[in-house]
Amino acid sequence: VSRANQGRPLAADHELIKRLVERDGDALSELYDRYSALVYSVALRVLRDTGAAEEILQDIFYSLWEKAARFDGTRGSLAGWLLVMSRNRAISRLRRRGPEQSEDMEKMTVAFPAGIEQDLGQRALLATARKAIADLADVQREAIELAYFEGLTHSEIAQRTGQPLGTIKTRVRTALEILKKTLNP
Amino acid sequence: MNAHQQREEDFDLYALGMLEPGDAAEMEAHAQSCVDCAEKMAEARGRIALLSVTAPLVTPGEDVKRRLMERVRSEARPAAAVVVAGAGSKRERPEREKSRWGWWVLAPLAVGLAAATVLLWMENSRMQRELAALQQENSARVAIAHEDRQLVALLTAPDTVRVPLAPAEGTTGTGEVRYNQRQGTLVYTGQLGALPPDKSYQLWLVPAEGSPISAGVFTPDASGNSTVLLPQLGTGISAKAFAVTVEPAGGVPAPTGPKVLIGAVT
Repeated sequence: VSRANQGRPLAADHELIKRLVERDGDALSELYDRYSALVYSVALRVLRDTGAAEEILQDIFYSLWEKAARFDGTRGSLAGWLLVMSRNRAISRLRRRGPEQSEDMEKMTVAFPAGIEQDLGQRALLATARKAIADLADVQREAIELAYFEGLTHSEIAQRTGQPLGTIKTRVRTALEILKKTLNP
Repeated sequence: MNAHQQREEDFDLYALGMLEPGDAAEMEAHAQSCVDCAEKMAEARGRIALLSVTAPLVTPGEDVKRRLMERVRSEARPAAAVVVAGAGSKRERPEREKSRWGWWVLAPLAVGLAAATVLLWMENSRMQRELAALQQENSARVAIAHEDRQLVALLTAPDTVRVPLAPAEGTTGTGEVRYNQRQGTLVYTGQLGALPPDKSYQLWLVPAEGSPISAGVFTPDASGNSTVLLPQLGTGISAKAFAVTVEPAGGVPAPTGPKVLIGAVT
């Protein structure tokens, strides 16, 4: 029997968002339990500082509590928004600069590939994503991870790795094409 | 960067923060008035956000949630705090009067101490319940982590077969099974219509020899999506087909209802 059919059914994200708008603290608690480890892990991977990562985690969920009414669950994924926020805020803090992209919940829509909004489908797709990234050539994965987790530009990655700028651009572009083909076939 | 002049790869570079700042600003401005480009930006953000899965999954400290919830609850407290402050100011009296009516002060203090003791006892009980709940939650997380490992093993194994399920005659819907005979693991994802409350869908593994084996009972969500993840199956069962039938709610030991999806293992 699928795990989804055992015990109390999980409320969908959009239902919990509606309850947040009605100032239901239990809904925030449920969303926190669902996504805090993901959000925290990204901030921790970027900052390598538990205190700073915890601060970002708490601030993001507080922003969600305050601005839930601006989130349109029919247009975007909450999990995606939380991950993008975590990464962007952590990179801003790491590089001591303001956010590069808008944090507005209405403007910053994040669409995950089809199927990821279902609880178990989400885990299946995350597993597919892990495999897709693991299958990249080491040098491609290195370039992509330096960009994502350290916020480095093409030039900075070239400098860090000692490779020509053109080589880095090719590695990044190729890695992105492979990920796109795998995740949005 | 005028309308629709973005290269496809620019959306991913934008989401990764690798576009030149000027180009990124132009892309954002353009997306305000272009639905297609806004959708592509949203998809790119989602795709790039999946890079997060390479970060080791770490559970935050328990006190972060407590601080967050206190911060949220404190929104409702200011009014109560004002009342308490007002009550305190009314109780202020000259020193001599306080001394003369000392027992008036001591008696409430004694009552207060008793109340505090009861409150502390209740708080202690509550914390013990929370601790038990957290221990239970931790066990659940360990189980989920184990399932995640099984899932990755299933999806990455070269001997995992992918079996598309097609609708049976007169029905609609789609599905797909990924099955690994050696590991005895399976994932089903599909899209099917809603059923009456007294009915469930049931997934069956049809072995090369013998009767069909139940591989999970499921009910699609409001959008018709459904998933069966890692049902209890033995290892080494050679499957010749997979099928989905409509059965009484909760499932049955052997298929009785009509087939809605079917797919042969090739």
